Amino acid sequence: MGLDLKGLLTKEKTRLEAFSSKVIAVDAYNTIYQFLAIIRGPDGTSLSDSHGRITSHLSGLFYRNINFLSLGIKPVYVFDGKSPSLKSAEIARRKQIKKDATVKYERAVAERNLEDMRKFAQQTTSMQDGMVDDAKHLLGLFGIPYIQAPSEGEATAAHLTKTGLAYAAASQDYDSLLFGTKRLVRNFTNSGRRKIPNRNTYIEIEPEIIDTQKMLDDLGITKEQLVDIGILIGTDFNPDGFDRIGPKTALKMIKEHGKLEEVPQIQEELVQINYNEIRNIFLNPNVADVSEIKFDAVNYSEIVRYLSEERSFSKERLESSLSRLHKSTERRSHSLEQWFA
Amino acid sequence: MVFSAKTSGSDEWKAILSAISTLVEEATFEATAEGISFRGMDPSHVALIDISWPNSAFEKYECDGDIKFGVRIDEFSKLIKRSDKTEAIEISLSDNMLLISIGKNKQYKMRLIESSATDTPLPKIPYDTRISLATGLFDKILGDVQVVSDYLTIKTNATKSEFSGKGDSGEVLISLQKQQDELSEISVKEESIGTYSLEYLNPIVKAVGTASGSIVCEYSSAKPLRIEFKVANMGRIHFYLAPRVES
Repeated sequence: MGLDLKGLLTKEKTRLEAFSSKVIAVDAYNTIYQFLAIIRGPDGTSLSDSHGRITSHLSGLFYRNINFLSLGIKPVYVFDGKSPSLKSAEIARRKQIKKDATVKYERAVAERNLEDMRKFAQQTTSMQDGMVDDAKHLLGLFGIPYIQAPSEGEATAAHLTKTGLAYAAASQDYDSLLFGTKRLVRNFTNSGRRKIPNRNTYIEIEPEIIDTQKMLDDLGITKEQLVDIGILIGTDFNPDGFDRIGPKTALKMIKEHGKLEEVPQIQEELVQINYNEIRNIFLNPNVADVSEIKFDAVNYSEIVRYLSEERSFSKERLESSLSRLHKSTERRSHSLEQWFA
Repeated sequence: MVFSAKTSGSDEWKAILSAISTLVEEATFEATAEGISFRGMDPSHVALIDISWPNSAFEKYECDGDIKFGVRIDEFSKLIKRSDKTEAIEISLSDNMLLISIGKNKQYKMRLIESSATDTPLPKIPYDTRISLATGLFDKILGDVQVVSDYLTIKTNATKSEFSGKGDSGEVLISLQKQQDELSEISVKEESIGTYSLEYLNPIVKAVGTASGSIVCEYSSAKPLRIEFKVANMGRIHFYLAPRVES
């Protein structure tokens, strides 16, 4: 579910090109999960290879990264490690949603209801064994670095922006704001029309960037207070949040009283959660210690071999996409940024 | 707050707007007592335009503060294009609208956009090489190179500049000496070689084109190029372009 900070945020619309020559820490699980959910046929079946293994994530990563590299963007993928134990309720909740969706999916199959089949198949999306290794293997062939976080990936992504190794963290979730990322990019992909899941309507999707310090200044709060607001609304570590408190009310309470312990009307609920531990997860997160991020050359021939021979992709389509990448990297100019002293 | 700026003809605005339109769709101008200025980069941050239009270049200029106004370049251009070469243009601001008077009896009002201007810095580069040539000649060289290549390489030593390009179909080399009808100025601290994308160079040179008689190119090996266009009655346009990535 993730943190619902909508309404409190000052987002600025931007374009993918604006991230040219910048290192962006991409939330790997979030990205792969989206590919698995979206890259499906009309009846909800995933792409798969000749052994029946799912390849939706590889297809998504292939095209997305060609796009990034063509524009000179430098993505570094951050993979989640072990979740803090406080996350177990949220994980159980997600499992239950998938279980329910599986039942509904099977019913839709029996009724041959194509629309429902796709809808519920999407909700059953889960990461399976091997997918993370597949993804890491493909990223390696692209010369794109990845980082294994010890705990929450978004914490390590945020840390990379703090140490200056990355310009921004990219994720659809807002959690990295609580982890203190300098900037968060959402919709980190090309602008275009996207279908809203489960509805027959389309919306215009374009990249947007949130500058955390600017957001805190606009709201007139500290980063510690932002974490407290997050806890009131509900984080992955207390997914239900507080009874009938949304973003606006949470902001008002914290601005008025300073911190959770001082808000009189929530004290009864507050004692039931481990709020100090949650604060600690966000404010003193367990992160990977990274001193350098290195990009390698793209191994064109091995990408074609791996995806066509082992994962049943069309060789022709791989080659035409990769030749587009090759051309654009040949033609590219530097960014002026490095001469701004 | 008082602001109005009047030019005796429309060429200056046409040159400026078409120059800016090669890089961005929306622009924020800044007006102060000293004049009007603009600075902006293309979305990939490969090229930058820095325009300085001093008050002395206007027929009439008045500004008693520091004003920023944002416009959509294509809309502004469309309106300015409704003027003849010799018609005076006067702009002023009122209620979030830009008033544009053309000639004696035409006035447009154009909605301003929220200016999203962040301060764009300028690249700091010591330039080793400086050459000066006619804009028309430079435009011709770009055309000559473009038939075989996507980029232009400039190599300059104390006596000559070599403009070259290389593509799948072949190569081109154009050599200019220091003499009046070729390079009117060469000044070289160190022999320099730089390669720049025609994708950016061509449109800007075409855009400013005849409004500018001559240009000054300054660059250093593997560093950005700066072109100064001198536009009569206007001041100057600086165009910065990052070098191409060597593969």
